[in-house]
Amino acid sequence: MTPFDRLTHELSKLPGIGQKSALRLALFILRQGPEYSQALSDSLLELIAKVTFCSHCFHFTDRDPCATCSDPTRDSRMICVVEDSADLMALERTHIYRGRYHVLQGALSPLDGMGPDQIRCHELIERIKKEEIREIILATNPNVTGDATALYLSKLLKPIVPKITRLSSGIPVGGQINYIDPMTLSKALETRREY
Amino acid sequence: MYLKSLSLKNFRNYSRAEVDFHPHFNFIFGKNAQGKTNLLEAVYYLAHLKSFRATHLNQLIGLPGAEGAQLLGKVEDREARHEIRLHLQGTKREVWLNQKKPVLLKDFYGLVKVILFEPWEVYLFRENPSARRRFLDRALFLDDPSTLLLIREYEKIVAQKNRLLKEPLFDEQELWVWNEKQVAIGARLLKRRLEWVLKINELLPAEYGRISQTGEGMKINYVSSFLAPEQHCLTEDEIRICFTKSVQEKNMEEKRWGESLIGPHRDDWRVFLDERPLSVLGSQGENRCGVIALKSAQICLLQKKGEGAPIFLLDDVGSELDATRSAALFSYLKDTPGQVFVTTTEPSKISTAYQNDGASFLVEEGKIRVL
Repeated sequence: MTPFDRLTHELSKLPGIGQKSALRLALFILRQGPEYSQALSDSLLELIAKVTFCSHCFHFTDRDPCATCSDPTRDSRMICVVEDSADLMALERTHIYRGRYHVLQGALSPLDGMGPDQIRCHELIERIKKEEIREIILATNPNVTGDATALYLSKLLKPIVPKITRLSSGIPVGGQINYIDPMTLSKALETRREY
Repeated sequence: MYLKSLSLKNFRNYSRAEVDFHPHFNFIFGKNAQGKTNLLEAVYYLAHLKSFRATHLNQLIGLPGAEGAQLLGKVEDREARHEIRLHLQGTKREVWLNQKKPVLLKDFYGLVKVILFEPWEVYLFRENPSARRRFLDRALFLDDPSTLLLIREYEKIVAQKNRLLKEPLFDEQELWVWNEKQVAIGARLLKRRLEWVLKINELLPAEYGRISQTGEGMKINYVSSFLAPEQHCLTEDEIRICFTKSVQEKNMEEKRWGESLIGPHRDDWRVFLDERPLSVLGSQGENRCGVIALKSAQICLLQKKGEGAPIFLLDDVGSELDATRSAALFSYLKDTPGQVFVTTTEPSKISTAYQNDGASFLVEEGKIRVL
């Protein structure tokens, strides 16, 4: 295998990258010269050497506990449960939520071999037992596996947490009602609230 | 609503074809294996983005490696005109509606309504239950395209639950979760099916009478895997309560079999003429008329909703209907306002009177020409 083939092969393993895109990326890297390649490979190695998962919330971090878990201004009695780190980062961009997080690193899906032992739910229970938690926000995706996960956690946590909430789903902000599919709209109707 | 024209490129055995259709009757003649059903498949695909016989997209593409397959259909719906363009390549499908990419569930599905009759369907009432469930789900989709989401979600949940039940060891709570989901979505799906059966049963006796020229009353009986017949009028919430109870009762058995045993995915339906079950005691001819009555009742149902008649595709009718019955069918179709496509190997089976009221085509080795 030539060095060029080796790189395309490795790149094509990335999600969303096929053979053609891998080839394009490899050519791009080749054209950038040694400095760029050095920076890229250094950053990859550094990522692997320094970044681990936070022992509290399982978000990736370069120090343990992570920045959100060690931030004293955050409400430590609230935990927002998400499927993966990308969801956490999306919620952080809202700048509204000031509690802590818990990253499950997946959702219940027997078809993909994901059961309660594969998602970080035992760790969540341990955490709740140790810390004094007032509210759990279930922020898993509103699809079949995300809903199942939320239902599972809600049943499991009910005896030990005073308040469990679930992110509501429905009409997107700035959207138009006549453009929304019936399933979403009926969900929005079901979860409507006093105004 | 009717399909005004269709052009195909590299679709099945059509390397290139362009054809204008008649708003009412379209007869497609040709020997076996020339491409008659492929043409119906193209029309069906334009409406559903799904084939009734191919399991993979690439089966629809003629020569592999080429440009992929292209379909272009022009549809007229009263004053409105629509252009549907599809491009199939590899495993990818692209859809344009009037030069724009549509949101499928909102803009696309339901725009062209198609009812298909395939020769094997005369055995529908004697087929295995999964064929009848598929028929029912297709009928629900035709009636209301948004049901598709419900059907898909239910299938996903059952697949997850079955996988879990096959695990040697699992958490009881996790099974509880999938049971809850199954019951919630399953009750909704079952309610939709029962409502549809109720609606179609209002129309079936008259439709069967028109087609068979007899006075027997045809009706569908839905057979639920957990509801008794007298419980079919329950509300969705009440169905959910019954479903939950039955799932609990079946818990041990489901674990033993490693499979979900009750719910809409295990239900069935049967057809009766007066009180006689058609599948066991009905003649072959009665079975055939029954299937066609079922299709025409679906057409009536759409018309009652003010949606206009759908396109009716009849594949190879001649092969399964005798002369009297096909004559009765055509005289019935003559009075039906929708567009009809009929394929047959025997032009003699279709009276010239009808041929004059429509267009006839000859299909030979992937080429179509007007007769």
